[in-house]
Amino acid sequence: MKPKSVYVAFDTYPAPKGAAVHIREFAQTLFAHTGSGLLLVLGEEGLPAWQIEGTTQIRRLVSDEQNYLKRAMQFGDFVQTHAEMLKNDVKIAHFRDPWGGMPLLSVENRAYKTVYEVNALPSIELPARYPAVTTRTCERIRELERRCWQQADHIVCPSQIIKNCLIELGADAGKITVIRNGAQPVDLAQISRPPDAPAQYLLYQGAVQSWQGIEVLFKAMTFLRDMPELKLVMCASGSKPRLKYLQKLAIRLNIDSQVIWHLKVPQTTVMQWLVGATISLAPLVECSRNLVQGCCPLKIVESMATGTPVIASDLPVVRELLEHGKTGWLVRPDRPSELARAIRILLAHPEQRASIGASAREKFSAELTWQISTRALTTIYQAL
Amino acid sequence: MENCNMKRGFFFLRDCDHPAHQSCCTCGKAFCNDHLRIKPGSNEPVCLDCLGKTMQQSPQNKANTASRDRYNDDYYYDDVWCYGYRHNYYSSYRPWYVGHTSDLQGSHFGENDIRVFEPSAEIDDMDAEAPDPEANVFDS
Ligand SMILES: [Zn+2]
Ligand SMILES: [Zn+2]
Repeated sequence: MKPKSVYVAFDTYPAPKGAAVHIREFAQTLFAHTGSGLLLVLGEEGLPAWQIEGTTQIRRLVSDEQNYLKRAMQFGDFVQTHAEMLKNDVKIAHFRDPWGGMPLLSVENRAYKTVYEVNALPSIELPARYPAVTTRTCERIRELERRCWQQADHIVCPSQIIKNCLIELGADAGKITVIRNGAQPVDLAQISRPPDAPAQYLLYQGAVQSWQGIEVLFKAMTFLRDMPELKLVMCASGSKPRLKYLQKLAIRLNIDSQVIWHLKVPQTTVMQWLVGATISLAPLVECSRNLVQGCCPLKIVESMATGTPVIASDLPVVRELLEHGKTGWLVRPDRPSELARAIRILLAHPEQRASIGASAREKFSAELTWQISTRALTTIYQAL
Repeated sequence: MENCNMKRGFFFLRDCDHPAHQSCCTCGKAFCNDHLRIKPGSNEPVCLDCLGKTMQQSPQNKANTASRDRYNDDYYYDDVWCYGYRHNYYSSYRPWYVGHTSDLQGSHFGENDIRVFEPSAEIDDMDAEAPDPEANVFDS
């Protein structure tokens, strides 16, 4: 059976990270809407090049190309051949990046409509990852992105910040819809705190890139040395060198006796740590990635789902989710002493913690579940 | 006989629990019938993983164009639409044409663009990104 829709992502799928969950939720929504679908993603050792799961198929590009741009172009060829082959059968093509978008939009006489899901812009993210990228190269990538948002029939993005960024770059505001990253509702009765959890602990969970602000958090911990019983649990995942660097930093800052590391633990374990945490932390850095491009920090949404009070950096993207004093506690970004003070305040006021956690959980249930996000996505597909 | 060696699942991959029926002529592992197809141009069983990989080989790597024509699209079209066997593989699609720098215009990528994306140029040695006390990350 030929698929009626295609979801294209220049990402390894599945993978133990937020993007993969996002792909799962949105691709399943698309495939349910059209009755069948094809997922085109990147492969990896151990992942079959081709899977047929009922009415759903997954095809993975098998490539040992190490150069990012070459691999992206290879992926484009891979997508293009599928798009040409299926151009009369597919009703909707949904893509997440220009590497998949350009080939989908290049097919002439296609029967399908296109949706561009903008979670991040390579022209903004890549220079941070590859510092040797020149302005000229960036402009070329930006040009591909531009063609994608000009030609796509609809655009979805996870935050108002990205929407504003796209409008500023020239995208048509009328065809952009904000659909937030969701999380699964959590049945608190089904999750218990980990047996080895300390009596009271702060939690950082998630990836550890420089813009996540872990350095700020560690520095804040140095202001809390008078509470040696207070622990910081790090349910962290990331590159080996980065994790090693952070572990060394904790030693250098002399907070290593306060920090408990749980590296690359499964999501179910992370949820246990989250449920048991006194406070969850999202100390995002004030940098162009978080400011201009925005993001939708899953760790905040997941904390809201469990009713764990969050202290987060006061950035526009965070303000879209949390209201200071009501559903969260916001502190100026990149200020360790202010973060430490906020931790102290909330530790001293259990009733306020409880009320913030409960309000956040209410807001989550009303606005931020995957069910709400995917329903909004279906509405867009219906209107295409 | 042993169980099928393929993975199943859309998000959580698990081992296929069906008993294996035959071995794949390419990788030699045993699979159930769900996960085996007939290899185009021969009568041998091939697993979906190997078939998927074969389909991705560019036509240039294949011995000759005649061998492509033997795999009539319609033969496989319903269940096994194979890309790489299609004649329209050679399309004019080249949004990121790679050539000499002098040929470049617009969004076309050249060697200068590609060079900086080598893995050696990627920041993953995070010690290189150690916090700069002057960079306003720390406030004290
Ligand atoms: Zn095989
Ligand atoms: Zn099987």
